[in-house]
Amino acid sequence: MQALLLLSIILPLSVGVVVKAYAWQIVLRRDGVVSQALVALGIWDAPQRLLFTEAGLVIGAANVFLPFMILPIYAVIRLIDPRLTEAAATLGASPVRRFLTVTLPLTLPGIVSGIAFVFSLAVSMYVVPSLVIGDRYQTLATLTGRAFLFLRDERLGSTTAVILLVIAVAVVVGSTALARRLGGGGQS
Amino acid sequence: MTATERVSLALVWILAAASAAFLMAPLLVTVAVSFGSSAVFTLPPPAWSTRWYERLWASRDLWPALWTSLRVAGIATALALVLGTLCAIAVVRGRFPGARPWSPS
Repeated sequence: MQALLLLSIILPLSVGVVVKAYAWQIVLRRDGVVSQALVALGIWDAPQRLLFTEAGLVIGAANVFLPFMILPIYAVIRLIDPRLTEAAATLGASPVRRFLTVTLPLTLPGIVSGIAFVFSLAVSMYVVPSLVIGDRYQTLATLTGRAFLFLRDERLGSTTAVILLVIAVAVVVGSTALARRLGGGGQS
Repeated sequence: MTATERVSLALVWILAAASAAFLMAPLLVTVAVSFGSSAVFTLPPPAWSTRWYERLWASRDLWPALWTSLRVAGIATALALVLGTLCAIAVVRGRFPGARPWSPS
């Protein structure tokens, strides 16, 4: 069962982003599965399209980048000594407390690398927004892509790319600092 | 196992199954479309067929492209394995400023 779950994380990585974005186009259409399911459940009154909306882009991006959050956290959690939570249990800690004071602080390095991976990838994604929202909105990354590919304006592209880079670095540094502060109390 | 533990374990499994389904959704769509008979990109396909596979099999572009993919992926993996291992050793064992960004200290 666990092997099957792991397979469902690895397998999507071997399918290109273009293919996945097109697959989401079908799913998020007005007559797509999601719209039909929400109408059948009574959440929506009439079929709506999620394609070409920001919600659709978020769904697609989360799907494409989810493995990059799972894998680092999985790698760290696997290495946590199970005796630590058992020891906390013998000392009378509740499951919630065991999670918050033992498992979570020890998982922080994995969470930080997951955030760094996913945020940097998501802030700079080009293919998914191009195919899911098209020209309806611009993200900074699609603006960068357009500058290089269509406008042939490499200076504009380089400048927006640097802004993206600064944002990504700020998030990575910020989450690392936050993790250090939160983890500092529990472990040393 | 207490009742709370059973409930939380069930919740964990439901969440894991939902995540797996979410991750596999675009793959299922892709497989379904590839085995469909429709000439337009639609789901569910009107009928199942292997016509797109037959057409790809007959195409002269298939084998060179496949060979290039396998060669590039193989070499890139080997290269990443060597460089990545060296890099990971340096990050864990190395003693230089910034070597251990996530050390709890």
